[in-house]
Formats: sequence, structure tokens, C-alpha cells
Amino acid sequence: MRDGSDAVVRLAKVSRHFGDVAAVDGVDLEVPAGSLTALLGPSGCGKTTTLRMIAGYEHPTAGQIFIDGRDATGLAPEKRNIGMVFQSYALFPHLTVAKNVGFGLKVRGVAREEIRRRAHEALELVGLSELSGRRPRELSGGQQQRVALARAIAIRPSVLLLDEPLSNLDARLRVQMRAELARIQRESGITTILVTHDQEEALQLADQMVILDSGRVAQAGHPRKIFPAPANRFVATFLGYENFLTLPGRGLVTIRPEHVAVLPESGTAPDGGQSRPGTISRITYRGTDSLVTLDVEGDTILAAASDPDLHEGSRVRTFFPDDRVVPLAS
Amino acid sequence: MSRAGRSLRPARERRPVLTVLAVAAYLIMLGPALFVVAVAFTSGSTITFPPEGFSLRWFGAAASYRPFLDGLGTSALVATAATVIALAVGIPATLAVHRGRLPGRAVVQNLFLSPIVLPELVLGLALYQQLMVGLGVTASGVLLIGHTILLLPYAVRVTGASLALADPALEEAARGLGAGPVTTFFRVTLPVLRPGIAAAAVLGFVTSFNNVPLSLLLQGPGTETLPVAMLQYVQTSYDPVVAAVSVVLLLAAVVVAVVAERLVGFNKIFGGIGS
Repeated sequence: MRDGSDAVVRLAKVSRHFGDVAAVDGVDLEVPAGSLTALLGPSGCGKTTTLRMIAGYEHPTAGQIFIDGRDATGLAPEKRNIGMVFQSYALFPHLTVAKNVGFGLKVRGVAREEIRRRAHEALELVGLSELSGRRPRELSGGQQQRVALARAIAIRPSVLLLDEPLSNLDARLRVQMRAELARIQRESGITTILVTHDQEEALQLADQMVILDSGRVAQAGHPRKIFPAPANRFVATFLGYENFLTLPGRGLVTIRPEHVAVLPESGTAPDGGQSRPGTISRITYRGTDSLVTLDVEGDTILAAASDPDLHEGSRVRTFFPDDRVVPLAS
Repeated sequence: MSRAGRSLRPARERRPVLTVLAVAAYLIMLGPALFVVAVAFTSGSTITFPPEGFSLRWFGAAASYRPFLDGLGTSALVATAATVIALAVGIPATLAVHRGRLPGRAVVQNLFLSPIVLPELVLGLALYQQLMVGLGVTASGVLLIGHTILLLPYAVRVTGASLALADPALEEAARGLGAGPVTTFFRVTLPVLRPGIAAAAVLGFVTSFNNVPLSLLLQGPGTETLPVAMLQYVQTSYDPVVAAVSVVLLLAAVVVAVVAERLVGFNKIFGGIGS
């Protein structure tokens, strides 16, 4: 049964209930061929359960999952042709790196020469071909991560599934691996779904960002579309917005600190925006500028300012330009 | 013990008390065994210490004493068969308890562990009454069943410990890579469990081989195990033959320990039991 869309993976109203609790609640999702989609959200939002349902480790209590246009809803994991990279990497401890990478090909009955060639190819892609004789426990965390990636890629999966792939690495290695991941995905052209709680990771890697809140899609789209225009307070908070206030005529809005102007209390208000009186409660020097914490009629507002004449306790006028203010659905 | 043993070297200069304790512990454990070893090589005809002279005559006597030879054969056979059966039943049970969606898994687990708390005499008596007297099962059959039950807790607990330490994602990874449940079991689950299975086999074999209460209760013509034969020998005659047999058993235990250490390593075998 084909679903008639070009998406490599498509979820139609997929839900997963554990007893009375809906871990995933009516999720629709389309993952175009060759794209990298990031499932993003805080822990418990249902992103991992969604990924595990795509892999076949969990089964939806409602809805359908299509992979390569075929209904895969009830298929066992081994029938789906997916390449999963686990958070724990899950490398087989009793096998060498080469045998780990070749495992999927071996159980598919691929000839030994072909297995060796493709395992080598996959290890080369992740830059580890010289370690093929090692055991997993002899590798660093970053190397294990690459082996797990090579093992998943070696079977030429319809879709590569990455479950928090960078969360077990230290900060420096994480940034490095993030760039690696982007390169590998681009070079291999494999359709990829990435689960992460790190919005930076998603912003940097994803063609499509799907933000989940309590099992539902809060917002989906290209990072460049979502980041400047979060749909609601949850998404805005998750993306790091901290200023929330209600403006007359605009309702609940958010605005980035660098777009809030801090002006002298006296003087005329500029056009093209709304101004509100406020008091500076704290100034944190950051080098290029200072982060100014303001009390604006009861709302706490952060502004980035470089004016050296601002002092804690001063009364000022805050200005919110119309074209910078992001209205939120409440 | 292992902790005291490990700290012996630095203790030499810094911890005299610990060293003394460790040496005392070794002496208390090994002393009686050394006494038996010495007696076995006596040329006298009674168990006396210090032994009179040196000879291997008691080893010769033990080797030509029919009940001991038969007992050794029976013990080896029962221990091997019981270990194999206990593992064949225990490993799937462990997998079901740890990995399956088994209703009442705690009950199942406790059921498999219960022989460890059940007095062996009660178990033996029950088996004797129900199987041998009631159902007419042969003595060797009941002996094998009894020993298998005795070993089940080891098979379940020890393999369970190594299963609990293994990443459950390993099996999921294998499935995702295209391996069906059966292939996954033989290519991933079983190899990952190998140290646990080896440990359970060693423990099980030794437990069965050394067992007295069950073997005593379930003995019949031709099913006397070596410990039972030794016990019966000691009841009637008190000469160094039994000491000689004991030395052979001690040697066998050392060999098993060394082989197990070489094959998988003691840390791996016993490291996971407590968890």
C-alpha cells in the first residue's frame, strides 16, 4: 500500500498511549528525501517515543507510519531498513569494529568480500578505517559514536535515526561531532531524523525542526522560519526567548534582548513601536555589551545595551519596535 | 578475602594489622586442607599428624576402591547433566524475566530462586516421596531432577546478573540492523551472556559435585555420588584413603578455578553476582 507522497517517512495522526498517559498524541510528520529533520523538545515531550515508533521498537496505539511510501505501522524493526544510532551507541562488545559495522550486511546475507568493502567504506566516511580491528571497549566515546554511525549507514538505510547522538560527549567534542554529523549527512545524502533536547544542535543541523510539547507538535518548519517567529510561549521559551509581555493591540509578545531599546526617561518616544517606562534592576557586563535586567511595569525584561551611562536603579524608557516584536498565540 | 589479598603488597610497609588478619584468614581457610594433604601422603595406616613417612599407597588404594570410582563417575555425570539442564531451563527463564513482558515476573523469579532457601533435606524428601515412591521414577532420574532443581537458582541468578549489566539496546540494535529474533539471540544475546553462562556452569557443576544432603537422600543402587561414598567409607573405616581422595578433589577444584580464570576471568564471573 503506497501513500502517494514523496516523503521517505510519513506519520499520520500517530499516538502512543501508556495506560491513560499519551506519550505521543496525534503527531503528523513528513520527512522529505535527503533532509535532516530534528525532533526537538524537553524530556518527556514524546520525541524519543516517536523515534522508537519509526524504528519499530514501539508500536502506535493509533495512526499510521509510512516508510518509503509503504505502510510500516505493524512491521518488526528488522523489516524496516532503518539505521538507528542509540544514545548508548549499543556497539556489540564481543565483535570488532569491522564486524560491528558489517553486522547488518552479514545478517542480510551479503557476500563476505562485499561486506568488507562496504564496512570499510562506511568507516572511511566517519574517518575510522584504521581502527577496524579494535573492540568497542578500546575506543573513546567519540570513536564509539562514529562506529555506531558507520554501522547504521553501512546497511544503506531508508532513513537514519539518531537518538540524542551527541548527549554523551563532552562539550568540545560535541561541537566537533556536530559539524562531522552535518558533513556525513550531506556527503551520504541519507534522509535523517535526529532526536535532541538541544535547540542549538537542531538549529545548526536541521532542514526541518519539529518541536514537541506533551506529545503534540507545537511547531514545525525550517529553523530560519521558526526561530524568528515562534508560534507560542512554549516554543519561544524552548528556543531561549526570555522576554514575555503583553502590549496593547498585540497581545502576548516576545522579543530578543538585542532588539529592546533602552532610552532616557525624558524625551520623545520614537515612532514605529511602543514604549514603556521601566527601572534597571541589574546590569551584567558581557564585554561587547551589557545585559540589562529591567522591571517594566511588573514584567522582567532583558535588554542588550552598550550605553555606559546606564546604572542600576535608574528609571528609563524601554522601546519595543513593531517589526521586532513577535506576537505569540497564548 | 579478595580485598585483603589485593592489599597485601602495600600492607607490608603500612598496614601490619591487615596483613596479620589476611594471613590468619588464609590459615584458617587453608589450614585444615593442608592438614588433609599432609595426611594423604603418609606411609602409616592411620590418620595421624604429623604423618609417618611418605608414600603414595593411599592414592593407589583409593584408585582401586570400586565405590569411589563408581561414585566419581556418577558425580561427574550427574553434575554435568544437571548443569546442562539447569542452564537450558534457566537461561530462557532469565531472558523471560529480564527482557520479556511476562506477567508476574517477580513470582517467576522467586520460584526459580526458591530452592536456595528451601532446606535440601525437605526438597530431597519431597522428591523421594513424590517421584520415587509415588511415580516410580528411577533413582538416577530423581537424583538428576533433584540436582537440576538445586542448580536452577545459580543458572537464573548468575546469568541474570550478567544480563542485567548488558545494554538492552544491544538487542534492539541487532533487530534494527535486520536480524530477526532468533538471529539476534544467537549472534548477540548469547555471546554477551557467555561470561555469565560460564560462571553459572562452574558454580553449578561444583555445587552439584560437592552436594551431600540431596545425594544422600536420593541414593539408590548404582547412584551413589562420590561424596556419599566417602561419607559411607568414613563411617566404617578411618584410614588415609579418604584424605587421598580429598586431595584429588582439591586438585580438581584448583584446576577448574585456573581454567575458569583463564577462560573468562574471575572478575567477570563473580563481579556481577551482587548486583
